[in-house]
Amino acid sequence: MKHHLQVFRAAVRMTIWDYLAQPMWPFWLTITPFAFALVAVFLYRDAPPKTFALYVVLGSGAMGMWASALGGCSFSMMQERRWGTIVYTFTTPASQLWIAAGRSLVHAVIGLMTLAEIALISVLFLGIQLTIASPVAFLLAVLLTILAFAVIGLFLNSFFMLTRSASDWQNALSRFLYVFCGVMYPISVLPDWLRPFSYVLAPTWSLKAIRLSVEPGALGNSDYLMNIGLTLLLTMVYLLLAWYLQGVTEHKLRISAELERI
Amino acid sequence: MIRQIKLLIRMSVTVFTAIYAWQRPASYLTIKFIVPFLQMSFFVYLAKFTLGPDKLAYVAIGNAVQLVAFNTLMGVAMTMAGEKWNGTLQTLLTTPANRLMIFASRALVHVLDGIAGAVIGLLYAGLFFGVSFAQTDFLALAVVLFISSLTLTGLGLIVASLSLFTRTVEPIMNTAYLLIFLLAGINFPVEQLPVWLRPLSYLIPLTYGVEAARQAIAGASLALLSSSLLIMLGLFLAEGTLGYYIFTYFERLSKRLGTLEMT
Amino acid sequence: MNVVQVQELTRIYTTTQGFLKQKKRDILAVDGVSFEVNQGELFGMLGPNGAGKTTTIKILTTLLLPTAGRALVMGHDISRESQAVRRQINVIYGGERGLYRRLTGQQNLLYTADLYGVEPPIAQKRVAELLELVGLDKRADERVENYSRGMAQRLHIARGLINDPSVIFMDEPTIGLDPEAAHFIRQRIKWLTGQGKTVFLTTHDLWEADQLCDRIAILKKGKIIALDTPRELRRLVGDVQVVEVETFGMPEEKRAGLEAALKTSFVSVATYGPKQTIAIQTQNPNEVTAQVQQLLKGVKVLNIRVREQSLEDVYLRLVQEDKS
Repeated sequence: MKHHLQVFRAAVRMTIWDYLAQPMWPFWLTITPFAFALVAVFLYRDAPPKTFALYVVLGSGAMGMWASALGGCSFSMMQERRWGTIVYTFTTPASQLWIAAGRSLVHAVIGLMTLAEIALISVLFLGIQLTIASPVAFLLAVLLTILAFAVIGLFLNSFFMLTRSASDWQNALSRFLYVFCGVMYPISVLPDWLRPFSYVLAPTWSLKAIRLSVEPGALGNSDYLMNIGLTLLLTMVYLLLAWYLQGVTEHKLRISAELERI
Repeated sequence: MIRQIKLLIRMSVTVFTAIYAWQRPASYLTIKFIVPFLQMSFFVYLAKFTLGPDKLAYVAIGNAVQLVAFNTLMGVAMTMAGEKWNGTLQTLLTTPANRLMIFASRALVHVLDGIAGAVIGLLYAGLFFGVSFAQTDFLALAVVLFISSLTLTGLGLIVASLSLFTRTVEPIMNTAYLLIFLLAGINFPVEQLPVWLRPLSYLIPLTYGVEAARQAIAGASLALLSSSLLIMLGLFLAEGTLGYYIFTYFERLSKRLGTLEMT
Repeated sequence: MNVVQVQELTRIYTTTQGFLKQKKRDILAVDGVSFEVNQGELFGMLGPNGAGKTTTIKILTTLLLPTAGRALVMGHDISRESQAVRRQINVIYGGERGLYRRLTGQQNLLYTADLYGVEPPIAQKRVAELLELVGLDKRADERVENYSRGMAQRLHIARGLINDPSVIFMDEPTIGLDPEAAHFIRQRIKWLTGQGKTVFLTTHDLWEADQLCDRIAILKKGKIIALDTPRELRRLVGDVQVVEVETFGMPEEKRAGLEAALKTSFVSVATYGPKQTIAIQTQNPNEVTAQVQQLLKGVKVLNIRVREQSLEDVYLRLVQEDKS
């Protein structure tokens, strides 16, 4: 476990180094959610400020985190492949899962940039004000949202290790979560037959929890607590799946010899 | 003339197979069918929540027609990126073959690809998002889609030329696409943009194309739309020429500096 | 103690081609290979491209699984106890690939140290020492993308030693390096065995193998065709000497004639532009010299000499003989 934590920390530090070496990277990773959020700014122009803050501002943060976790993780793996470093890291005693965990956490946090941008625009140009009635509940829900996106990134790591065309799937995967997690609208707008997709995505619940946390007394609100609980439960399930898939993937790669191919 | 057209078609086919041969069918289908569906769903549901059910058609049609931009603009620009990756740009620039011919062959492929994209989008609009084609003047719609796709190649050329000088084409291309997506009246009317941004909208041919498509679907005839179409063609000529000059300028510049292949 | 034990190791690659009609094709890369490497030994593996050298290394370093057979490294099974194996080994492939190009040399080493679970205080100290060992201490804070090829390869050596491994696998570590850089790497390899490390080396440079290795295995089409010390290998093909003839612009039919006339001896011809160097391995150098002079009448002969056979002569003979 000590080694795992060391690997995790190393991956976090190394991803930060990578960002520092290419300062424009966060910007390119989140440009699409930023533009989408701008469209939402226009579509929400007649909405009450509270609705605006809860959907446009928070939603932009969620989209940014997801775009960044997804794009960052797939790009990191593509880079490992192109530079041939994956062949070396694969044969270290470090767990690929913990490397990916460190990475996707940093990528997800970087995505909060979109939230900052949209919040700034909203406050400066649109005069939107957001008051959070239960800061503790809010913070908890935000942290869980980051965790949920990071864990999905982690879950996808085995997929990125296996495929050489990860970038082709990125656009589909990113939009999939935009549609179904209710980042910019409540999932009740979706037709019934599409809603099951939403239910199995952890961020659906954590985002709901965030929205509930701006009301007073959220920590005692059973609705809030249920959303937090569901987020945790689904995140655990993802973790187990990620762990299982990683083992299968590594075994497969040692047979197929696909890892070295660019 | 006929010889020229034959040559054009032959070159287009070659270009097309060269571009798409490496792509796995699964990823091609994802880009062509799944991404558009998801993106459209996102904005349609967003509009349903914020503006109410009666605005769905507006957003659905806008998102379907903008697929022309997604395919055409990205296609033309990505071809250059692909060429760059494969190292063929160097050879391409040094062949004496008529430059315009090269671009025409590229553009033709992507124009058709763009129209196909929009047709898929409109099918989704009809099947899932309640857009009615009962009144539609299909001839007018077809012409509008063709002109929309064709006229975007001018902008595509500018983007592609600018990308000659950057390490990768994706950032410039994505920015250009997202600007069009924001400014061309896809999800909300241009009139809602700040005044200082509107002139940019009117420089994008798609701004007129999306509006014309909405009208054609509502039953407007070609005659009624002809002024929009003429403006689009005018913009196309201007932007195409500009793109061509930027291209030759950068080409000379990079030959002099020897930095053509910066990847 | 046997640091590496390999028994009947076999590896088959399966490739699929085509989209609609998928065709499967099996390639036998390593074919029932068995050998052992001792503690502190510098073990070399030679062979033509595609003979299975790199595949062997990839299996022993747990990157690939064998299709059949068994291999133990430091007493641990590479298939079932890969984690235990990974902790005690490291690998260095030739070429520049395998480094984080946007990070500095030092950052590369620190990251790798963490992946191997080296305690941070020890890692700090070791990184500094290794950078000095490979002569990169002055440029440790530069990004790898600005390194020359030789520098990158030196950083690879440092990276490969970061976990103080008991066994180091090196796959053509001097490939593509200029003579000075290659010399530097060879020196460090030699130094490693002095430190009690076991080194498993593949190379195409026969002179390098001759200089460095305690024992050499020669691989051909996935099989070991010879395994011994360089000295014994030279003796393997008998007590022969080499008649070396340098010619200028020798026509192809002369070459064929030469090979036909000297079929009891082993003839190899290397071409350098218009020049050819013909090496004839024989037990009767004087007789052959006379014969060659006769046969090469009309061809411009620059030089004829008789020398002791080198490892290269032996290698060419073993690899080219019996072309079946």
